[in-house]
Amino acid sequence: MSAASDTALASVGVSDDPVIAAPADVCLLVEGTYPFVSGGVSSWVHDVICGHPELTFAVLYVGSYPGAHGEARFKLPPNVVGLHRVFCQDAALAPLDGAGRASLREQIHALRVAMDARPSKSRVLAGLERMHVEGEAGTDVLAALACNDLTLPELMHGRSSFQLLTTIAERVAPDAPFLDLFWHYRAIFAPVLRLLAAPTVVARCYHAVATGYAGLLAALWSYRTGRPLMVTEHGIYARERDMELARADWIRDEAGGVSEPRSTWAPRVSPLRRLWSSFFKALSRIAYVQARHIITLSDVNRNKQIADGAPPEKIEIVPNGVALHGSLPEKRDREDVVAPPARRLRVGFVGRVVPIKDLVTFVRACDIALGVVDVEARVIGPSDEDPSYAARCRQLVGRLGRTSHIQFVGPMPPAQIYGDLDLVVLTSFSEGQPLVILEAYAWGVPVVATDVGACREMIEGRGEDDRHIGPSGFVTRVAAPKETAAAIIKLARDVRLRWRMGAAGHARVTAFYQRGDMLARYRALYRSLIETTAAEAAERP
Amino acid sequence: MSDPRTSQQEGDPEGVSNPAGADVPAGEAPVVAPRPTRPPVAPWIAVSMADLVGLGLVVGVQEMWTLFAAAGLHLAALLPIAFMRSLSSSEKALAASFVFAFPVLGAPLAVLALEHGNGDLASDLTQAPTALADAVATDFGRLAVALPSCEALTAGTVEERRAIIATLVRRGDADAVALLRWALGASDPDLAVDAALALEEMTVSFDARLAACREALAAAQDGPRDTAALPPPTLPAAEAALAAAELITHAIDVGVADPALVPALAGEARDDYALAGADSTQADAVAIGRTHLELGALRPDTALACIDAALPTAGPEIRPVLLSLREEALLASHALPWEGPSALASYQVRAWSHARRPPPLTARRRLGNLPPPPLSASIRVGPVQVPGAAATRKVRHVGRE
Repeated sequence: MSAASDTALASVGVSDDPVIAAPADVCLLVEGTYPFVSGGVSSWVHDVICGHPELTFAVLYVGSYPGAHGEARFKLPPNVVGLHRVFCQDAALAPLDGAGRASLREQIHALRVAMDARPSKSRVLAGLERMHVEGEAGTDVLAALACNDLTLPELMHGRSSFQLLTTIAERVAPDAPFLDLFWHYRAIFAPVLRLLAAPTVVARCYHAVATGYAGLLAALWSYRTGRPLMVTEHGIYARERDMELARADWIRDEAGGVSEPRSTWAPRVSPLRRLWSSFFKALSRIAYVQARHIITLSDVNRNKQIADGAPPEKIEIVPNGVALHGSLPEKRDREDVVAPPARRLRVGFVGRVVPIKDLVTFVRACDIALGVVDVEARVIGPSDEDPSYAARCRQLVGRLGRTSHIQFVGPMPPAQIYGDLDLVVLTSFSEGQPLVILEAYAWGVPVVATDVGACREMIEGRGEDDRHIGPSGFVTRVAAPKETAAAIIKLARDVRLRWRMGAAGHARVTAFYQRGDMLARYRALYRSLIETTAAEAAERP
Repeated sequence: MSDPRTSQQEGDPEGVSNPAGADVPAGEAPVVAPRPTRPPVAPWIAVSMADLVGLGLVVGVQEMWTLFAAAGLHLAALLPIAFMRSLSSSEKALAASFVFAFPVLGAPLAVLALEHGNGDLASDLTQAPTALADAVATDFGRLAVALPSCEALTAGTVEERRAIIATLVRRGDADAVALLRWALGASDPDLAVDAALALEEMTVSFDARLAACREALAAAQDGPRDTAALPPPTLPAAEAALAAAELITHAIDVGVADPALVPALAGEARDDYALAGADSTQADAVAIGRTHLELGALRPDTALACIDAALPTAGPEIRPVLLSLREEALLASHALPWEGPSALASYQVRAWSHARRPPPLTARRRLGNLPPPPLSASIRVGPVQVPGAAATRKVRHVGRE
C-alpha cells in the first residue's frame, strides 16, 4: 500500500499534476485561508501575488478534509500557475460490515508480517519519537520525517507504532487514560503522515504563510528539494492553537478542589492538552529551523516567535502596507474642524462577523455611548462565516433597541467604507497587524482598538520617530465595552482631537506602512531566495 | 487513657462497647461507653503485699540472701498484673512499669493512673478520627503547593493559567465568573484575552441553552392538546417555563447574563415563573427561584414580597430556605445602591407603567403616600432627581449641579 494513495490531493489550475507541472518561482503554502476563505491573511496573500506580476506562483492550500471549504473567494491572478490542495483527513468512511472487518483483520496481519520482516525501524517513527519524547525539532527530525518510510496503515496497526505510543504513555503522558491517549495519538500523527506523503510541488523557493501544517510541508519540501524557505507569520500559529486547545471541550483538565467551595486549588494540566500543545510548538520550530527568513509583522510577534524557538537572527519585521491615494482627503481638512458638521458620529466596525472579532463588545460599547452622544454605528463585513454568531449579534442589537443606530451593512469595497466614517473601532480578541487600521489611517480616520497583536504600536507608535507623530487613536482592554464607549464619547465630543488623531494616523501610514515598501521588501527577499537557488544549481556538477 | 474498669470487658477487642447490644459499625460506635462492673482489687493487694514482705525481709533480717529474696518478691509482684484480664495490654504495661519502678508505692500509683486517666493509648489511636487528620494534612499540602487562584492566574505558567480558566468555565458559578472578570483587567494582555474568550464561551453556552429552553416552552405551549395519550399540556408547559426561568435566574445570579439585557431577561423570567406557578406542585420551586431572581436583579423588596406570599403555604422542608432568603432580602433592601440612580429610574418606569409590577417597598416607603405621578413628570428622592419615563437615562445628581 503506497503512502501516496492515502493522500487526498487535488489540483486545480493550469497543471493538474504537481510533479510534472512547470516549476513556479514561488510556492506559497497557506493553511485554511487563500483563496477559499476571506479575511486579512487571504487579502494579504492576494495582494502579494498581484504585487509581483513578474513572478509565477503555485499556491498550495492545506485544508482539513475534502469538501470542507466552499467556493474560491478570490479570482486567481494570471501569474498563479497552479492551485493545489492537500487535506489532513479523508472524508468520513462508512462503517465496515462483518466481511469488511474480516478483510481488515487479514490486511493488518499481512501488514504486521511485512513490518516484522523489515531490517530496521521506520525513520519517520524515530523522528516522531524524538519530536515528542525528546522534545527535539531540528534538522535531524526533519531529515527523518522527509524519508516518508511509514504508511498510514503502518501507523494505525503496526507494532512499532504501538511501541511508540506506549513510550509516550510512559514518559510524556503517564497520567493520561491510555484509551484517550490512543485516539489522540492517531489524531495527531495521521495528518502528519498524509502531509509527508503529499507529492512535492517543485518551485524555485517556498514561502509558508504560517507555521503549523503548512509550515511543516514547506519545510519538508524545502529539505527534499534543497530550495530555500521563507516563513511569514501574521498571527503566531502555536499561540493561536493553544488558545483553541484551552477551549477544546474534548480535552478535560483536572483541578483539585473544583467541587470544593475554596478559591485555592492546584491546577493539573491535562497531559493530552500538553501533548497537543507541544506538537504544534514542534511544528513551528521545524519551520523556523528550515527557514532562511522568518518574517513577522510587529515587535510583539517577534518576541513570541523567539520564545517559541525561532532564531532571532533570522527574524525580520516587515509590516503590512496599504496604498495611499495622495494627501489627506479634503473633507478632513482643518476647515472641517473649525465648523464641524451638525450630524451624528459615524462609527464603523470593519471585519468579519465572527467571535474572534468580539462584535458583542462593539455593540455594547455603542449602546453605552448612545446614552451620552449621538452615534451611528455600522458593521461592515461578511457575516456568513459564522451565521449563528451573526444572528446572536443582531439579536443583541434588537434586544437593546438599537436597530436604528447599529446597522449591519455587509461587505463593501474599502474605497466606499472609510470616506463615510469618522471613527473605526476594533474590538478583536486576537489580531496580527490589522489591515483595517492601516486602511483607516490612509483615509485619515482615527481608530479605537483593543490591546492585541500590533494594535498598540500601530496606534501609539513603534520606534522613537513613530511615537513622535503622536497617538492616532485609543487602545482599550479586550472585552471592555465601557472603555471603548469612553473613547467613542471622547472622540465624538472633541472634534479637534479626532482630526488630530486622524492626521497622525495618515502621517504614520505614510511614513511606515506603505504597500509599496512592503512589496519592495518581499521582492528583494524573493529575489535573494531565487538567486540562492540558481547559484546552488550552478555549483552542482 | 481509658477507664480500666471499662476496657476489655465482654471480649470487646477494640475497647468500644455497645450498650444497646446492636451491631454498630466501628466508625459509628460511641468512643466511651460506661461499664457498670467494679474492677478486681485482690491482685493489687497481692502486688503490694509481695513488695511489703520483701521490704520487711531486707529491713528485719539484713542478710545477703534477703536482698535476692526481696528482688524475687518484687519480680513476683508483677505476676498478678500480668494475669489481670480486665486490663488491656497497654494498661498492663503501664501498671507493671509503675510497680517495677516504685516498690511498694507502685501498685497504688498504678491504680490512681488507671482510675483517673482519660483512656487507653492503643484504643485512642484506633478510635482517632483518621479522616480529620488526613484532611488537615491535605490542607497543609494544598497551602504548600498551590497558589490562590488570582496568584496562579497571574504568576503561573501559560498551561496552568489555561487549566485554571478551563476549570472556571466548567465551574461556572458566581465566584468563577467574578474571577474571570477580574482577570479581564489584568496587566498581561494574554491573560485578559483568555479570560475574555472564556466569558464569551460561557455567554454563548447560556444563549444556546436559553434558546433551547424557549423552544421547549413554545413547543409545550403549542403542542397537540386533543391526543388522549399525551399528558395535559399545562404540566409540561409549567415545567418548561420553570426550567427557562431558573436558567435565566442562574445566569443573572452568577453574572453571565449581559448587564444591558438583565432587565429584559428578568422580565422574561418573571413571566415564566408566573406560568410555572400554574402548577401548584411547583409552588415552592417557583417561590425560591423568583426570590433569587429578584435578589439578582437588585429588587430585594420584590423578593421580600414573593417570600411573604409563599411562606403561609410553604411546607416544613422549604420554610427554612425561605426564611434564610428572607433574611438576605431584608439585608439587601437596606443596602440598595442609591448612589446609582439607574436602579431608581428603572423602578419608576416599571412601577408606574405596569400595574402588575408594583414599585418596590423601599421606594414606596421613601416616596411616602404620594399619588403616582404622570409618566412625564420627574420626582426627587434625596439627592437624586429622577426624571420621567421618557428620559430615564438623564438622571442627574441634584447636589452636584
